[in-house]
Amino acid sequence: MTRSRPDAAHQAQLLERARQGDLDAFDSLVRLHFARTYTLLFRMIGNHEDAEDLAQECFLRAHGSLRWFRGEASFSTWLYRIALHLSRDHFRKRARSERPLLEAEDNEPQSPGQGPAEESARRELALGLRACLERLPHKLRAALVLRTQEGLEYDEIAEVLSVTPQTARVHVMKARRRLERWLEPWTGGTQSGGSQTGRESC
Amino acid sequence: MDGGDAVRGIADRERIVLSCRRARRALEARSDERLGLERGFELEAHLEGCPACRGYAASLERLDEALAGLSDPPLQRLDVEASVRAVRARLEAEAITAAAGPRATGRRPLRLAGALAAAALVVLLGYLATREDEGGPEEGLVQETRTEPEARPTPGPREELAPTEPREAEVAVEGRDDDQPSDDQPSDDQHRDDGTTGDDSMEEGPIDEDRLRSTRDEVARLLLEAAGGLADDSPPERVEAFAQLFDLNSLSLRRAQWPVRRLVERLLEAPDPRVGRAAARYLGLRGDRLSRSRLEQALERPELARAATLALRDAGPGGVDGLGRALHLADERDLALASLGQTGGPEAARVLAAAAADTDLAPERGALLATLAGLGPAAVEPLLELGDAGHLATAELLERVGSIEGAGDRLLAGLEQRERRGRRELRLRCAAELAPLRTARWLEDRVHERELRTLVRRLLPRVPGVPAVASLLRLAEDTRLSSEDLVAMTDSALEHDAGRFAEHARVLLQGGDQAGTTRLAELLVAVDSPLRLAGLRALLPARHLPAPLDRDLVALIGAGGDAADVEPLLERFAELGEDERHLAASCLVALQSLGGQEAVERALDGVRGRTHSNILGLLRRRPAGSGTPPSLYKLARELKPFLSERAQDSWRSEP
Repeated sequence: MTRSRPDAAHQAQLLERARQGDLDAFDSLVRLHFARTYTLLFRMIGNHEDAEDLAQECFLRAHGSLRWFRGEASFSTWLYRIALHLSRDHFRKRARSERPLLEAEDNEPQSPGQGPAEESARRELALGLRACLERLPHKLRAALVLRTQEGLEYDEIAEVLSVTPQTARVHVMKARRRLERWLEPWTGGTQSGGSQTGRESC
Repeated sequence: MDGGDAVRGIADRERIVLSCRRARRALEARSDERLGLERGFELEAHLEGCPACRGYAASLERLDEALAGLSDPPLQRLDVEASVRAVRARLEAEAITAAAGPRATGRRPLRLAGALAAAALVVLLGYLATREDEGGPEEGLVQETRTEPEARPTPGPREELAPTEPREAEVAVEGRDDDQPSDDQPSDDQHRDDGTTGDDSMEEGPIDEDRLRSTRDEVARLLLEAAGGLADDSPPERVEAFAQLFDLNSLSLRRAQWPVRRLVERLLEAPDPRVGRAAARYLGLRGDRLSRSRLEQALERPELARAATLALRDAGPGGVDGLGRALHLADERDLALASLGQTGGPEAARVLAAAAADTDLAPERGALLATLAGLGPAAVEPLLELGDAGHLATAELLERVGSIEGAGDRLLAGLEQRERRGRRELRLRCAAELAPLRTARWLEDRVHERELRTLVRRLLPRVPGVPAVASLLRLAEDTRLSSEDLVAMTDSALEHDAGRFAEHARVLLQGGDQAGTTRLAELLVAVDSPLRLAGLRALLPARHLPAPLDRDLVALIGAGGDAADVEPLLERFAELGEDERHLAASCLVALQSLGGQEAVERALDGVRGRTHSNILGLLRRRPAGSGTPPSLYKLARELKPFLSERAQDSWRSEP
């Protein structure tokens, strides 16, 4: 990952100690990576409590599988993978239990300086976008979040999603196109088109 | 040439070259910050002359803005240290469990209540350790439960740390409140457990055991005061009034930042069972996840079990896991069962299904399943899971699911999700019983899907009633389906329920659906099964079938029918015209086979002389039912003048 990376040697030491059963070392790893893991999960799920729970679960799973972690990917990439698996399971469970979506509504920030109508439109767009993100297939959503919100490069996204960088790029592109299409009711319904079929062209 | 001219030059050149398709790709690349300078010029040039792509560009920009404007994670609400401790507590609890006995197969998913319970255990151990350092256990209203060190089979890594671990860190985990505090009830989040201040903002100094003890006593007194007259069977309004009164009376403690809810939890262990019961009922209404975990522990104590069960009932969906535990208590089972039924929802359904699968509760299985089915659509998936796991026979599953209104819709909706093949098959079998028409259509639509075709070919014939027959007829028009597959499915459908073919034939005839009748006749003639007879008989009155098909139909009735078919055949024979001589011959062969010479004589009533002799001679030449084409041809030739006469008679008799 390109962003603030914990000192690699120190982390390797912590990992080695954690593998040998040193829980203090694992605590340190949790401290180092918890916020980022939580952030990814929040962006995937949109709910603070669930993201926090899942982030904890992510580290529990990571601890249970430490002996299988061979260091081929970075520890944070590995955690991202586990977190994304957990978020996928979470969505499946939620689909089964039919819990309402859009719990992040209250988290939408206020934009200072906007009139009530603009603010209302902006909030509606944000809610619409969240609803559309929920509709995206998990792998597309994950790729888009990793790219646009986590700021990962395509080779990093590819590593997290276990695909090629080209596939990661295609995932992001597809996600954008679908969102652009689905968001027409919110963005004003331009006659644009991500796909070429049935759209106006020049 | 300045820069602007250069851009315009490129624009003029590229406007023709850059297609909308490429322009849109370039726009997407620009959104992704992957667009080079030269390509950017090309794009600008294209956009200048293309309103549609300009619209797309604007739309993408709005999307990017919206993505950028999505709310940031509320990191200010994130307590990393609390999470570190929760993870640690869980790992230690697992280590203790693992050391105590063989590890259960597969890791159980993290439940926050479980994590909190583990954290509570750590807190308690740490708390006791600290108090031991301070001079022994507290004498007071609450009798703390001590966990003897030797009770642990093997020491975990935590044991080395426990005495020196900062106490407030541990209690903060326990005191974490996952529920949002209401306006009129101050959050306990700000507090440390047991009134431990440990925070610079607190007015009072560090822990004061005397103050803590007296506060607990005060809380116990207030609880008893508010609970006056509260009984197990008190109505919900009365319980709510009790909680409100206690909230009101304890306001001064809350304002002094005492963690009242945590203190009430400790009172579950008070020596006076009245206090424990009142604490339980209060926590049922006002408790959080940690409180519910404490209530679950309280179930183990006989004097508190009833109050804890009632409290878990009052807790609504959050209490269902505890009610699931209460199902294992003989005295509380009925109440827990009724409470789960009353609470309802997917969580209660999950708990009831788990109980129904529990061998310890086998004698209660009927009641559990009845309550589960009583939850309505929420019970459909858990019941299906029970069936899929082999805890419920298919017949019983169908009976249970069938009693739920809207179960068919729920089952069909679930077909759209990916699931294991066995479970999908079970779902389809249930759906077929409850919504045969839509299930048949669903299967029919997927007959060519690679992953599903085997399943479809097996299940479609088993869909009850005529929908399966109707689907088979529609599939008969599908040229992509091989005739072998179609015949095999028809054969299977006949084996499953042959009567519906006759039923559907009658429906088609009544509706005048000539094409449908013809397809059904073709299907039944093609399949080699004795079970097709009912369908063939039902089709006998059809008057529009192609001649060869009609002849085959009559011949098959003659070969497989019985004396009851004589009259319909005579009736059919009597209506035949001159151009249906071959069908008439088939009818006579069939009549000879089923009713002997008497039936033939009745058919030929009025025909005497040489024609009569020839016909009888031809019929006698072959054993019954073996009319070969040459004999049929000869019969048909002999019948020609007779049928002509019959046809004329028929014409004359019309008004």
